[in-house]
Amino acid sequence: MNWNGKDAVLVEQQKQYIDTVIIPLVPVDFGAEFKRSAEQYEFVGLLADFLERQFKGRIVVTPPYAYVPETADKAPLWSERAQLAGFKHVFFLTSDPAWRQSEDELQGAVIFVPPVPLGDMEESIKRSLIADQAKQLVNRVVDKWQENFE
Amino acid sequence: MGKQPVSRRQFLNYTLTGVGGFMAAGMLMPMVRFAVDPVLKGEAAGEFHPTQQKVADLTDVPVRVDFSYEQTDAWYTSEVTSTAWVYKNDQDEIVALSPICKHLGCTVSWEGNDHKDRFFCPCHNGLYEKSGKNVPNTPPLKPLDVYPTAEKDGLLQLGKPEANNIV
Repeated sequence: MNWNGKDAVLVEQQKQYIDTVIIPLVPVDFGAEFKRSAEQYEFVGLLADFLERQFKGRIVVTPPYAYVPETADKAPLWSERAQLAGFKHVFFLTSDPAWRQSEDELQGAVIFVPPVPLGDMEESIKRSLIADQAKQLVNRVVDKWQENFE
Repeated sequence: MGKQPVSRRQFLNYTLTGVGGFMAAGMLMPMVRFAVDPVLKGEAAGEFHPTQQKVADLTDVPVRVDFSYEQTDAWYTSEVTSTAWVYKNDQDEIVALSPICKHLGCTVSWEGNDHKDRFFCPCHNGLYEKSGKNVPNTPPLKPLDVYPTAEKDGLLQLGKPEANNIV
C-alpha cells in the first residue's frame, strides 16, 4: 500500500493482513554529497515502488526517513512506533552502507542495496535494471516473513 | 464567338464569393473537428496494447508477458508497465490472466513457492487454479481478471482486464 488516503483506509480495515512496513532510509546532503544523496533517494524510491506493486496487499511503504548525520540515530523511533501500532514486520530499505550492521539498533530488518547511479540512463534500461535488482529483494522479503513465522 | 466580357460587378462577385468561401471553411472546419472529436476518442478507448510475445510461441504453460504503454491521466502522461500470465487452453484458445491478486492486490506468480499447477500469491498464500479460479479456503474470494486478447502481425495484443466469469 502507498502512503495516501485511499490506501490508508484499506490498511485500517485489513490490519490483520497488512502487517509489514517498509521504511526507505535516505541520507540528505546539501554540499559535496548532494548528487549522491539525490541519486540514492531516486534509486531507493524506485525499488520501494516496485516492492509495493509486488506486495501491495501486505506491505505499506512509508515516506522515506531522510536524515542529516546528526538525526540518523533517530530512525529507530519509526520502527518503534510502527511496532507499537501493531505492524509485525519492519523493513528498512537503504543504499547507505552505514546501516549494514544496524539491525539491532534499528529494531527491524535492513535490506541493503548497493546504490546504482541511474544518471541520465534511458528509461527502458533503467526499468529493467530496477526490475532485476528488485527481483532479488522479493525473495529476501518472503524469506524474512517465513523466518518470523517459525 | 465573341469574347464574353466579364463586367466589373461580376468579377468582384466571383472573387468575393471565392475568398469568402475559403474564410468560412477556415472557420467551420476546426469547429466541426472539435464537435466530432469525442466520437473519434470513443474508438480509441477500447484499444489493445501491443506486446513482444509471439502468439506462435505460446504453449499450455503460462508465461509471463510484460508490456508497457502510455497512459494519459488528465494532463499527466506516464508510461505504465503491466504484466499478464498467458497460455493456450485445451481448446487452443489464448488465455491471458491478470497477475493482480483479488484479495488485496499483490502480484501472483505461476507455480510460485512450489505450488504445482497453481498461481500463488506470496502475501497471504492465496492460490488460483490454472484457469484463474480461486482455490477455496485461501484468502482470495474471486477469480483472477482476464485480458481480452488480439493478434497483430503474429504478436499478442492485450486489452483492459475484465472480471472473470468462470464458475
